[in-house]
Amino acid sequence: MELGPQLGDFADTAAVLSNLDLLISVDTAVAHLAGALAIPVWTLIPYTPDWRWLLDREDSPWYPTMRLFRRAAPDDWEDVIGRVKETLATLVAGGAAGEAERRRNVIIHRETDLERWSNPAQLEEAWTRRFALAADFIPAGSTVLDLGCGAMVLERSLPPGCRYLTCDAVRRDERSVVRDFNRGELPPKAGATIVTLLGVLEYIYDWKAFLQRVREYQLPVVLSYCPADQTSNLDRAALGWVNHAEPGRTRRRLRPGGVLRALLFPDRCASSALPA
Amino acid sequence: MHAEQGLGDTIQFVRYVRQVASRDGAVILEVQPELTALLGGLPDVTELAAKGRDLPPFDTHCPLLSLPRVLATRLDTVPAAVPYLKADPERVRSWAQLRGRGRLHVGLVWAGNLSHSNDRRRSIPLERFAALGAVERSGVVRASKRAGRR
Repeated sequence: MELGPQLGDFADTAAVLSNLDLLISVDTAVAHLAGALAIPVWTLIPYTPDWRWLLDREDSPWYPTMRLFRRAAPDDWEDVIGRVKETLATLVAGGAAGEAERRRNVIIHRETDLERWSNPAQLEEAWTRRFALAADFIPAGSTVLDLGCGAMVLERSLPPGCRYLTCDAVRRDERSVVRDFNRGELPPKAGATIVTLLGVLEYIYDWKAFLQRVREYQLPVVLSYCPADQTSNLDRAALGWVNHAEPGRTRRRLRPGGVLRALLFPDRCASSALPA
Repeated sequence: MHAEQGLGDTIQFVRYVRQVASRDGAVILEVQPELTALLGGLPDVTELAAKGRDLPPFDTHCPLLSLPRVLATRLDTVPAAVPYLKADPERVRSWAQLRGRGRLHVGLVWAGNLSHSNDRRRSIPLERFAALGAVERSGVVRASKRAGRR
């Protein structure tokens, strides 16, 4: 569908871009607009690019959702279009590689991957043991608010007399409160006495702000996180992980107020292979 | 603050307006007429003026592209919180028919403004993109602005 003649002004262009999953563009104002709107954009730039695109990098410090495709030689567009086609085909094809590419695309869009979390097959059983370990930190008789409850596996491991409150980005069962943590939304405290955050922080873009909100519950928190320096063997973006903190930094962020009780599981990171 | 150079430059550097507004109070922003509808809702702008029209009185001025130097931002401190522009929800809805049943909706811009001095170097003949059309299941929305802007 060709839209050029129908577009009145840039407010229209912005509206069109907002209906797209991806823009592929040469170095024009429309590419800038997509970047400013945080829409995934692949920008094809000349062999000798404009100063703002810097050199030898695929990303741009100006636009987090932009990926740069550089021409390999001054008059060679075939090569760069070939690479775009290959990347696009991987994205469209699905399968493990396509899923990894799709996740990357979600990340550059800074969105919560609702498509993934709506699919029960994507809730990794490999992490089951983590829930049992976390449950050891939960006193009997607690009311547990499980943020990012997933398949609600934690409930099976809870000590006697616990009440279980669930919250996730998509509906899990009739009890669950639906909240998108990446939009700064948290559920009400609802009488909880302890909060669990297991395998969640990896998917939060602004995790410092998020933890600040969690701290406002004034409750103890049992938390797991796979720090970046323990996962050098993993492609974190392919797993859909959006942040890459190191344990020293993470611990410092968790400590203030003494509210958060951190549980880091570096030895378990390797168990989270990308599902086929 | 006033636009200079291209439309993309304005879109890229208008991000600095917030920092200026937080220091100095009222901001008059002068941009190319093509961008006034897009930039009309910027929260930190006291008055938006289209280039070529009369300006209200002002005390000091700065071209948008000089703001990184004036505000001394570096590569790692460039204000890069996105989105810093938003499409009008009404207009977004009016274009929603673009979204068919395909899994991925992809837009393509193959040429810029023909009057741009460098356009020949940056544009790619549309025929070269034919290869992308062969990618199945992606509805390609071609949104070239080659026809020029009004």
